[in-house]
Amino acid sequence: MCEECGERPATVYVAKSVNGERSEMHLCTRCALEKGEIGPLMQSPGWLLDQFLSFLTGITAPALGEPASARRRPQAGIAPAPARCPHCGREYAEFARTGLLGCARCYDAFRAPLAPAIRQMHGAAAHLGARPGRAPARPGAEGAPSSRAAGRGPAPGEGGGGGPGRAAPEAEASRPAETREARLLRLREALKEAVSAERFEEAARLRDEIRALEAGGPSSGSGGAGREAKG
Amino acid sequence: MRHVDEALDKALSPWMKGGGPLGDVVLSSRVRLARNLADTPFPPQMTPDLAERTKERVARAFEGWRDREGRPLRLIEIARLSPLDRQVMVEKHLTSPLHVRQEAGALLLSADEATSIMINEEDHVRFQCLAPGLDLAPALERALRLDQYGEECLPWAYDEDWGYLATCPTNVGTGLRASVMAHLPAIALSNQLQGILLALSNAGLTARGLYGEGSEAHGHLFQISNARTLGRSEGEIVQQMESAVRQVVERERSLRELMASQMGDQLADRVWRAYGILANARSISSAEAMELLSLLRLGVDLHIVPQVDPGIFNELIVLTRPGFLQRLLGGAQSPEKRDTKRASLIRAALARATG
Repeated sequence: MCEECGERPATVYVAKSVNGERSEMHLCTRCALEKGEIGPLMQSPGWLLDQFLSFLTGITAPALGEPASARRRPQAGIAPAPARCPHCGREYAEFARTGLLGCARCYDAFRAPLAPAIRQMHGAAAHLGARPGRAPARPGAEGAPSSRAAGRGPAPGEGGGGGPGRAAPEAEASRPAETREARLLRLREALKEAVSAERFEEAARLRDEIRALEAGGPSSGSGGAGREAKG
Repeated sequence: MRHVDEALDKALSPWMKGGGPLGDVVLSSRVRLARNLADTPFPPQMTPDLAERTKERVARAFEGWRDREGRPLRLIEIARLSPLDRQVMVEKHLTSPLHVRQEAGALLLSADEATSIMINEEDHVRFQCLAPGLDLAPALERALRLDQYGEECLPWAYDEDWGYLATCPTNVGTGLRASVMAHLPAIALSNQLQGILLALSNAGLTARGLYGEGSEAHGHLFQISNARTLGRSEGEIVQQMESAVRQVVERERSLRELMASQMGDQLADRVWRAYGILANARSISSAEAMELLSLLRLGVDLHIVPQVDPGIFNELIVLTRPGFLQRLLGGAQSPEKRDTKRASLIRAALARATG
């Protein structure tokens, strides 16, 4: 039974050592949440979106339907954003209400407020994993399941005639040289480490280096925009 | 239209036959990848005309795709489905409640129903791959192969920082939502659910009921999925998820054994009562059926009622949903009629499975 409310079954065991004094508590989830001993439960897929929207608007979303007083709101001033996306016309207010963007370029138009919100929501600021134009089988740059997942192997029949040789229309026209590829791999590995250790400045530097290296190919635009603006 | 009927007539998708790894607890695994076109407004901002064109464009991009038996994907257009058919599509988890409301929505479905592509849902394209039991890695492999196939003529929206761009920023990066459907009666009956949900939550996973209706899980069926999509590779996400789910399976199994050894008589009584009602009832609601089927399935897994084929549960879960029942009955029906039909279907299925 929960030691705090005495009503609900205890599901959380809290052991603490404050100034050398040990204490133990058995709490129900609700009380543990209220006392700030545990973070809010991510019970529904909508939870993350709620958190995201509340971050954008600066209003705290309740976790599990209770006032999340124990949770800190890290962000007060949100970077200003244009009223609408110049490309598709999506209004920022509409996005802040629904969490849905209007087009790929909205990410550029609303980058200032989006960047901190995305970072807080995902606990990360940079993508790792599959990318367009990737080689069909990746050399073991990642964990076993990943390379297993990305590697096609003999690919029994699936995919039909879509052989890996056909380059994506938007991807680099020429295959990068071996040495550059190896260097990219190493840099991406380092980027991954920097991001997981939350060394974001180093990560940004590495990312720029990767971009510069990739820009040896035809497109040098800033990320997605470069790909879209093919005209 | 004939093809559409084929998918809707059977409660059990072909891929569901057979248990899969850890099949006593994990019913199925699912991988979803979200992708969008860089040169087209996202679905919430599309004109109906653009939505139609996008549907045709994506469908055409996958025209040449073949499964390992050389069979193509078949196109199911939402606009051509009756309201009841749409409901059945959702009950079979072939598509989502949001998707069946999109008039320009369409589904590309493989012959075994294990692979599908949702067109014009929240994102332009969502690849969905399913597998029985806990088996996320092969499902991911299939989804990534579809992604590569599509990329040859569809310009995916991609950002160097944020990876694949999604309509909702909660899906950027990998666009990957991996989920498993787990049957957790022992955890639920021993009041350990909150603790498990908490542990999952701390591991970056979310859990909810089978058909997503709040946290109430009918039949002790839970859908567990990753919450975050950015910052970890697809392989890492799936690997972390599998190891977390394995721990949940361990807990469920040890609690089942504990229940069987410490309160064997009571448990046997509950299981046999469930069996008695299911085998004899003349009218039964969806909620009661789910609860009793869950108990009976637990009894089968613990060899309390050894003669029932465990395979019938997956079938009965879909077969006894309101939409599917009404479709069998040839149209909209009163709840009373449905309850009667449901009871008779369950009696027949049990008679077959024990025969």
